[in-house]
Amino acid sequence: MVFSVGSRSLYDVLELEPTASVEALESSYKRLMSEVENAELVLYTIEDDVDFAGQKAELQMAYEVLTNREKRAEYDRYVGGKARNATANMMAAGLQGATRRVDVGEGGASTPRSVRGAASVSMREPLSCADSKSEIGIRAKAAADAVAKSYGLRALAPDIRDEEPAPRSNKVLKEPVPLSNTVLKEPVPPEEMAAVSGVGVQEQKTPLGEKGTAPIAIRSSEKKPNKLGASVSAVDRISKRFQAFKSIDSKARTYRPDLELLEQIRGTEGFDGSTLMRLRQSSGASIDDIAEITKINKRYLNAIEQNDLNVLPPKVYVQGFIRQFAQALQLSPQEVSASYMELYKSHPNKG
Amino acid sequence: MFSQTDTQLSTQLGATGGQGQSIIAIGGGKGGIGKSLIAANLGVHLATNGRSAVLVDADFGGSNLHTCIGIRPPEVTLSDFVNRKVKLLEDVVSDTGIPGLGLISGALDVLGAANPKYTQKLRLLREIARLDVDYVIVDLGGGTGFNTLDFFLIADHGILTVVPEPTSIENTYRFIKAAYYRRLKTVKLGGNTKSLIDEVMREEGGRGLKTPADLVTFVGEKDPDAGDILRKEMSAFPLKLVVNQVRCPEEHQLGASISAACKKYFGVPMEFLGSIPYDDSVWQSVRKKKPVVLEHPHSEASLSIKNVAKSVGMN
Repeated sequence: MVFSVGSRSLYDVLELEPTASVEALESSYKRLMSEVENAELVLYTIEDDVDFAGQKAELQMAYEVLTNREKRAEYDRYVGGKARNATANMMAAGLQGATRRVDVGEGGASTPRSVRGAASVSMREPLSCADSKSEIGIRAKAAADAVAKSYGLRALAPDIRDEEPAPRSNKVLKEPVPLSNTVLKEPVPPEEMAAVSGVGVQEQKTPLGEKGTAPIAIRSSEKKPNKLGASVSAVDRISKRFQAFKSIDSKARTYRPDLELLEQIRGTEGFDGSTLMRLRQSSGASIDDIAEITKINKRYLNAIEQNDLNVLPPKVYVQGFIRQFAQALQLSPQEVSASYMELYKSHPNKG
Repeated sequence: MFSQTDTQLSTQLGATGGQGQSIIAIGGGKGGIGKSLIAANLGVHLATNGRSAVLVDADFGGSNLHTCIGIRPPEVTLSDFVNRKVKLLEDVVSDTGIPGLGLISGALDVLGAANPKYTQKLRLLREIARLDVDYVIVDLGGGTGFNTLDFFLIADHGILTVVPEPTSIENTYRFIKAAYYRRLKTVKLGGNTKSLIDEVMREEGGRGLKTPADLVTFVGEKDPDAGDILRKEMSAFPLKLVVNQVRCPEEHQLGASISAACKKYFGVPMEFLGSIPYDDSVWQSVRKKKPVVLEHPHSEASLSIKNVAKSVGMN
């Protein structure tokens, strides 16, 4: 379940920064777990659709990985690499769809923060800028920072600056840099953003480039202190989070594998890479489609299907991948991962 | 569902709070969650603070409030009043051995006494509201029968007891819904709206109306004025909440969460009065048939019960 909430990092799950101490992780885990448990107790008869078990499993997974020194180091390395890849891809693609990348799969408050971050860096801060080429580079960094943040990697931002290919000059821009159309070819519709983030939309549309305003105007989320205290906001937050997931889910296309094939596989081979591939093909989904839904790198998806375990990251991530793969095909994550992980265990270098 | 006798009930439910007297009903929809214990100890606490109070055991089928304060089953009970063996309600008030505190015991083992007739109930409700004491504390039985709901609805403070268990919380929501719908019977509305509600209630769920809030919205769309009246009724619903048998710090949050969920999903405000911790002193005093506020006055449970009393202005 590592990546079961799209691009939310394990740090996001525990609502902490990647620099958080073990003590902070433990207390955050305890607090959030008891919030979910209380909310479950209070809401389970009146709110049918909230996946409390999934939320608890997420917290459990985040806690187990991040409080284990080795697992945490592995995770940080892995996520760091993933975010850097995403950054490089965006630079190469001239930032097309950068905000889309931040948007998809995010729940709760981190999306608007990341998006605001991306937009405001170029508006607010006096930036070194020699020509239009480096201007794009700056925006690339801003967006990349936002992506990095969405993976829980605040510390990554300076690294990206160091790697910037465009030459710096001493000239400082006095005017804020307007966001141009080249930056955001695919602005996220405000109503979509509101649906995902759970915050209100102030304006339908702001003209791009005018007075340096960002294309997406988002009113800050209502954070009025509630007199009933923390547990009330837990109820609100959980239902809001759930709404966000639901709105994302409803947009994704559903793929269903051939049921006869599924029964046949269940009865004989069990779930390994090749049977998962056959099931995927029977559902009409391409590897790209599954990658889009699960946000898992295609290289790993291919490795899973080829049973090429050497390419795959450590076991804890693979388990999450398999579960997500299964979910994307409307299969039982528990059933598929149990079966696939047997195979994983029997591999000489793994297990 | 609505009959001509509703007018009488309506009058009765509206006729509370006279003579400076307050009626506090303790309910909760489920058995074994501490309703009788809280009722008894609130009464004892008030009496020892120099106020006059009468405990009414309205758990007709399972009376045992007398045991909570350590007295034998009284010889006169509510059934004597209901069956007109005695004329006045005062005549069935038993002495409790605690100055200032009386007890009206529930009907004991008399076949049929657990189900008073409608007119008998009206007479009882009327007389309860006339008792000349500072506080009348009504201990309700479990479930959502009309008798239980009506005693809850005549109260100035309807206190719901809940324990941190799914069964108890589920029954609490059920109780709130039932009590609200029952209360609507007493609201004066135009004939059309009444029959509209009547119709909706008969096929509850059939129109996707899951909660009181849905009903109010539905009626408001058909008749905005009637919607306003229902909305006002909803916010004037004197619901309070006490969470009993709290065992860990996290569970202290539960009351606020239930209260928020009640407002959010049902549209009904419910004031959270406080939690009462799970405390060995409670079962120890129950075994001895003594009220915990006397037996262990400084225990956490006793202090919390006193705080609950304070938070509804009883001291």
